[in-house]
Amino acid sequence: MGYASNLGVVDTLQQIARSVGLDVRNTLSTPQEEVIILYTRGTGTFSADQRYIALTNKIYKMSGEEDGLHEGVWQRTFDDPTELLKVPPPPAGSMEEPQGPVPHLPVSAQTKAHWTFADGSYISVAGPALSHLVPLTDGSFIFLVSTAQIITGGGGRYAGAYGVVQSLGATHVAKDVNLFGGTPVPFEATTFDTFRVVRSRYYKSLPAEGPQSQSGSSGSSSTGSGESQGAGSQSSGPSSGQSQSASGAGPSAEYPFPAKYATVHEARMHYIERGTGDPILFVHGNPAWSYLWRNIIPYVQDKGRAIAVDLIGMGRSEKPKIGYSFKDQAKYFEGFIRELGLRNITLVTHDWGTALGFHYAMRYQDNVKGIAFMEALLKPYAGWDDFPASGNDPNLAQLRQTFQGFRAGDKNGPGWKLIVDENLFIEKLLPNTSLPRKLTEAEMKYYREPFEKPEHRAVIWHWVHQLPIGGEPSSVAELVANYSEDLKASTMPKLLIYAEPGLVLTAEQVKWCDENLKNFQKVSIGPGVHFLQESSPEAVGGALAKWYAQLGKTATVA
Amino acid sequence: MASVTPADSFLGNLLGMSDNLGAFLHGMQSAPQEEVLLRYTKGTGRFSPDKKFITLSMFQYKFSGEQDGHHEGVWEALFTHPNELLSRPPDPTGAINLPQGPVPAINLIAETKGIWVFGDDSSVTAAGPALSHLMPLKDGRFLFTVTTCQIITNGTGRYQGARGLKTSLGSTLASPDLFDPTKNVPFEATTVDTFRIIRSKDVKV
Repeated sequence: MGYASNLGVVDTLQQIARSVGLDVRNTLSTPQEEVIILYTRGTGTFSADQRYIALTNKIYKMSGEEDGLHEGVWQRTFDDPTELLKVPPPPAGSMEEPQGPVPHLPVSAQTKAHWTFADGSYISVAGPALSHLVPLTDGSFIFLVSTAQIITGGGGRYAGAYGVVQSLGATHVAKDVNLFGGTPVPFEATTFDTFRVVRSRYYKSLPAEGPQSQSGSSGSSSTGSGESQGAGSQSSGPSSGQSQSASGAGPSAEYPFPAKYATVHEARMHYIERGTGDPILFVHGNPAWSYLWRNIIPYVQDKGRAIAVDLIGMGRSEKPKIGYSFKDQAKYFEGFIRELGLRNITLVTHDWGTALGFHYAMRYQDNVKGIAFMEALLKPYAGWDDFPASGNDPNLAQLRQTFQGFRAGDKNGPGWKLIVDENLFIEKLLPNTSLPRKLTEAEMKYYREPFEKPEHRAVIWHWVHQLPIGGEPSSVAELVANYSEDLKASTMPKLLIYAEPGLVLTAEQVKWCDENLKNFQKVSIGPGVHFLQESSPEAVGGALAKWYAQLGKTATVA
Repeated sequence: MASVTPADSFLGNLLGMSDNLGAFLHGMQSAPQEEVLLRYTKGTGRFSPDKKFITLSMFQYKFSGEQDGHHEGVWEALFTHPNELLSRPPDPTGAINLPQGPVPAINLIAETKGIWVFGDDSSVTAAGPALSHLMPLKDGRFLFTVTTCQIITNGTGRYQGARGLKTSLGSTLASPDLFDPTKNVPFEATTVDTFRIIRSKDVKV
């Protein structure tokens, strides 16, 4: 009876303590610094050679409330794991005078890590670590890691933030399990993390920051406080200071996203993500990659889990030896969704990404909350006369002829020469269809990156040959015709973001959408051609954020 | 020395009670044999005349605000010029969710040693490398920060023979002349300290 009563008191105290969280005010040197204390729990995975560990953990506030995702990599710098069992001797000399000796202990690992909080804000760090293995009397071990890390970048409310971090991790290694031997197995891990952060609004940039200074980092004062709003209403503004919309300084060339990979059909697919909640999956087309979405993601990263994938053979994804047909691409794209276990997805699509998105959405309607599309492939082209000519735009007057040229011949034929040997898709088509804005050299460098080697440009050529024109290729023509019909019947929420004149989605296609689609909204963003994310990121992001905010309320309205 | 900070509120007292009951940090344990502690310290730092060493003399507190002993420690600079503390490395490249490189090798900025004596006179002594970072603020002052990763070398009282790791995350609001060798005044400092300790009764020798 008494025990039960005491438990009740304990439970009540726990509830109260958890509800109020930790008061960190006494730990501040100045109100200009922010102290964060949290813990994480999740899974660690060794590399095959046991030199690396990757950690994927959920973040929790001290109240127990979930608050995002923590990921990191530990690289050991020791050779013999038994070194981790050793304890150095107690330090000699006084602790009370500013003098040596102070022992110089070798670090046992280097680390890099990333904390993405529930609102999409994030902090990136790197730094050395000590590791220690403690044998327990029951035959098991506790593997400990203590890191000292410096903040290298941030986003959202931590855009332009500086500071230091520590992480104190632990893993219980069961009896008879050899953590550093045999076949690597995933293991449970927990970390206890503290941060001292100075946000950008308090940080004063100095003219020269020394040899290790990060050039072009998000730490420059031009990123502002990370709290200003973009064009449009507050609810449709970006949550990060990293895009042009927060500073008014023009679209950002930066791509401040840590790389993530999913293994799909034995190939690694690269992706980036921000935020938590229902997935908002960004799908690019030809010849882009997730870089295309860098200035759009900040508009929704505080509303859901924004994920941008690089299609197989593109961007930073692997380039396996496959045929790169549309069906191959769909197989990997859908494998990616399965691998990440994505549910209740909102698709945000562009160019060939729209075809992949429509094809998936119409077959898995229960798993898709809505689909936004730009420069879309809505239906097969009946013939070349049906293919956009864009005759009004002097830069694009030859578009139809250009694509006919791209489709001419087989491998090593005239079209192959233009795309693979001369790289015209990247060097000519991409800049001309990003108008009216001119891509900067820094941006072009990112777009060129996946296709530096001619053999890597073959995927671009394959995409061009998958365009369903005049019934060929028949498999794609049939597939596109099928989803086109299904789209007409579907009440799934749909958003068209379009520009004028557009490239593949012109006034005629807008009219088709008006006449055929249900539960459909459209937003004109003014002048633009094809890469609307480059020419008008603030308008695209704002329209997307506004529509997404309505999704839950209007999802079933036809 | 800095003045003792009292438990300043009803909520603070509740937190302290919860902390004392051991209820607060269970979510961070990897095994029942592991003790996870969170403390903060406030006090005074002093440089050596050559600015190569700092000693801290601190009161230690639970997060309820209740004093729980004291902390002393020494920081030894490994850098040659304080301007090095203003820079930071670029964002790491490569996958963040796969066990593979590259992982940047970050140079050490300091080495440290310290002792944390708890309210019952039990103590933990630890040593380890540190990073330090100097952040210029818009009001003209600087925030000098230190993050350490430390291994417990020995203990006393309830931590006699204990093993484990700890961290210390310190900061000081400083004037621009903090590292000026012609000036040497004590400065206020604060640290947040975390510990993962396995007591000797659970350690297999």
